Amino acid sequence: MALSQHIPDVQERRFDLLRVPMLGRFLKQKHARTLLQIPVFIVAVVMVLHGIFGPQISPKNLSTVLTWVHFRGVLILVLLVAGNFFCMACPFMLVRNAGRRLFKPRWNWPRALRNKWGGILLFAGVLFAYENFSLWSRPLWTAWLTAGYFGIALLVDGLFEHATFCKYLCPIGQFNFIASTVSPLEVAVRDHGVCDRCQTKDCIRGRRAAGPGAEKFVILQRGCETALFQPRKEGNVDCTFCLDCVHACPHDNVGILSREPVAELSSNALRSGIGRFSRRVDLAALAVFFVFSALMNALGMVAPVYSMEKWLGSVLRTEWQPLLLGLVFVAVIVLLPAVLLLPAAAVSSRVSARNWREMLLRYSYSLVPVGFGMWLSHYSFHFLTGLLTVIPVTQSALNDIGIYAFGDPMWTLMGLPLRWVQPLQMGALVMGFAGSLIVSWRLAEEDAEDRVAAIFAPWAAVDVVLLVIAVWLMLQPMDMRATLMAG
Amino acid sequence: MYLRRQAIAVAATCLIGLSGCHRGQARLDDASIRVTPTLASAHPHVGTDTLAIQLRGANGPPLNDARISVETEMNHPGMVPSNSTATGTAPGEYRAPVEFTMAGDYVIELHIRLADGRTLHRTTDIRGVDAKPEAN
Repeated sequence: MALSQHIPDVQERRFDLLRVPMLGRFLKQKHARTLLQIPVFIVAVVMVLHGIFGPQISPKNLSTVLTWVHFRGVLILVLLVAGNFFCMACPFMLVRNAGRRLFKPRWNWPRALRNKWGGILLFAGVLFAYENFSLWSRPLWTAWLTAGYFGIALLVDGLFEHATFCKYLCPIGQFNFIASTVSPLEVAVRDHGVCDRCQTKDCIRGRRAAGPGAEKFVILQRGCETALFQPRKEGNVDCTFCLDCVHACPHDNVGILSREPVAELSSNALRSGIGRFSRRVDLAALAVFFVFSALMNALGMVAPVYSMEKWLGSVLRTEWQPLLLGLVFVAVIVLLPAVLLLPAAAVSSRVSARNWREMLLRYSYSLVPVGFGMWLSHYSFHFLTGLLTVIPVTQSALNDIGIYAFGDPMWTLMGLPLRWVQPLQMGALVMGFAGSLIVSWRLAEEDAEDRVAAIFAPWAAVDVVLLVIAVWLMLQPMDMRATLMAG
Repeated sequence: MYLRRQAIAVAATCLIGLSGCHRGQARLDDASIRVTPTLASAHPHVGTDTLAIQLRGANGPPLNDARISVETEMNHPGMVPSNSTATGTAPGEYRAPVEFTMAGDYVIELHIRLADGRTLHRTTDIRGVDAKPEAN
């Protein structure tokens, strides 16, 4: 049975979040994003302040609790059930926008850097820092990481035009862009016929007016800052859900529409602002990094990694953690993908008589759902088992500043019991695995209708290996150490 | 415009400065009371262990009749903590059970109320609790 993919025609009737009473009306307000950003910004400021001035005990500090338990959990769950709403409510962009009232960016991001390599590097840097410096156990460092994030966003977008930080650098943004390919909502055109007749293209250009004095113009409404031209936009990659296009469109023709999750991963259509998936080595590398860094991040929380590091340390006669951790990173994020993906690409290339490089790039995206399942399994574990811990920590923080209205901290509040969470984790892994199989199968159907199973098989095998590793990891006893060589 | 930039610079400087103040304040009462917590196991593992706590005044006399509550928590947020109360075993000596629920690093917090009503708060890090007892 053919499972050929059908990204729904925009003319089809689809659920549109912007048509939901009240919510849709709210989101279409020009300052809706700012109103969403302000509370998140306030929470971020509280996290930073508590991280700096509060108790330096990780489970009792809002900086660590909110960052490493709640933020990550909410982020991945919202991506699963809706879309990239964190970027919509991004507090860094609130500060960036305020900053741009003071400093007008003058430069364009260098052409050579207009790709995902910088984002991958920063993403890897944050993950490495998380493991190497045990950021989960350090409120002060977590607070400075958050504050630094604000600073870098402000600096980059203070110097460079458009959404340079979001599109090319922001590690959370890169994570969201890839993860949101499995989301059920996307910002999309409601009726392409309206776009065909549109003369102004405000969704990409924005609206400007002649400026006062020396200023050439003032921006009345921004167009898409990540260069996604709505009529040719497909999917969620690089879309920050900022809704600038929604506000800019003079025909009210852009909505937040439902769609089939993961379908965009098997499409090789020419996308505005992105090009074809099969020609984007950097984007495919980001997808692969997304998948294998999920393994690495989970691996850092179980005992076998410490044994591996001890063994490495004894072989190399060193206990220098950055080196040992770096080697584990290289093994999991570079060598393991190479060992799994290159043979799969070679086999499927031979069967389909297509170029192996193209096969490698296109099928790399098929792994995203299984990677998403791993992230979901990991982050939802911390989020659900520690769901209520934010309450006593907030009570304690309020007590510390003399507010006792909310009572003494109820330290016994935790979250869901492990026996409830583990089946959900397993469900997340299986769901991701199924998504990857579907994407691989659809790609194989496109490549050769008569040899679908043969092309599909090596990639399905990669999915199986990833699933087995993920399940094995999940079943390992947790071991959360700040120092790898300790104990 | 110039004033706004100055205000941002001043705010940033204050934030950094205040961060430093906080760290200095934490050391103020360290010298007045000596609290020495010692875990019974040299190589702690998942399960129940015993924490011995020695309380001494500034000049060395044992401090009796203190109430010590012990919180044992992982250094990762969102994990299950365990609480216990220490009991006196000898002059200035106390013992409390501590529960390690999984392998990893822990923070043990001691909330101490001395016989004269003064309160103290101390923390101690326990690194590398193993999943199983170390094989001999």
